[in-house]
Amino acid sequence: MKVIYSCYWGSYLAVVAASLHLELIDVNKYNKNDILSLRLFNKISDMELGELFFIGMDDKKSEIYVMGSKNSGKILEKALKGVAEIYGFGKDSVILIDLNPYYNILLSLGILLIKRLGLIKTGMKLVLKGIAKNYDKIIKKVQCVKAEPIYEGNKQEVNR
Amino acid sequence: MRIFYYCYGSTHSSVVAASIHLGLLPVERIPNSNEIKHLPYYDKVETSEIGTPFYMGKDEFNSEIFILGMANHRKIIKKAILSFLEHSGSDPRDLLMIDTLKNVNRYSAKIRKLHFLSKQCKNEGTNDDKFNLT
Repeated sequence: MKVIYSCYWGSYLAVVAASLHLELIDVNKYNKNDILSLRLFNKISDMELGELFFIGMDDKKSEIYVMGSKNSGKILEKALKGVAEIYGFGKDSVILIDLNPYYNILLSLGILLIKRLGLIKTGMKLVLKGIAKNYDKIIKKVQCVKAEPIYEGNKQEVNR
Repeated sequence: MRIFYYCYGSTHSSVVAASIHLGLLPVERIPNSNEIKHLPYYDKVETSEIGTPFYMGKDEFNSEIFILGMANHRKIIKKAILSFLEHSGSDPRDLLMIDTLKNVNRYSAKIRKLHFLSKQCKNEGTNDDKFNLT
């Protein structure tokens, strides 16, 4: 199974959520240095939007990816599930988690400063504050993903 | 091989292109509006179904023909599908994705929002575009 964490740019919320899923960062305590050291954090370019980036495999043998998808989340998930079914993988072989609802004003402003004005230092401070503000919500979302029936089904399949 | 004709809503230009491909529409003349209106999925796909691929048929080379609506996200969704298949171990040469909106004039595309006018205008617009799509 492929689990795709997706957000507008792919390299902020999606990377944090995927890393929480894989426990690459502490789920109990927010640490900005942990986030800054993530491989793809602030590293996906505009040209790479739509591409899947493999982050790792979890304990249930699910492949965890991140992707920047702008605002296409709902349509994109349907398209990927449809294509997966056509190719015989089954529509439940892929889930896409759209993290755009977890953007806040600090994150959006920070990303604007980084991407459009090149003010990386100031922008990154705001981005990290924005992530810290919604960190608990992102953790809850990841926990919900792991508790989803499709995901649990994947676990049973692995155990068989 | 699988061929996806994609447009905004998978209900007009992609349906016409896929139908030309499958021989459901004539290529030697412009089809009349009745022929277009009676195509499968023509003007029938709901907004909530955008993103769902629909099977149109199999051509003479045994290729499966699909239509797909991607709204305004065609570039990203196309890339995502190709990337997904690549990560799934599928041969990218087995897939062809064709943007049919590139062949549609503005008249036909913009009129979509004016639904009360659209029934007639879309058929006329599609007629004009048919030569491009062919």
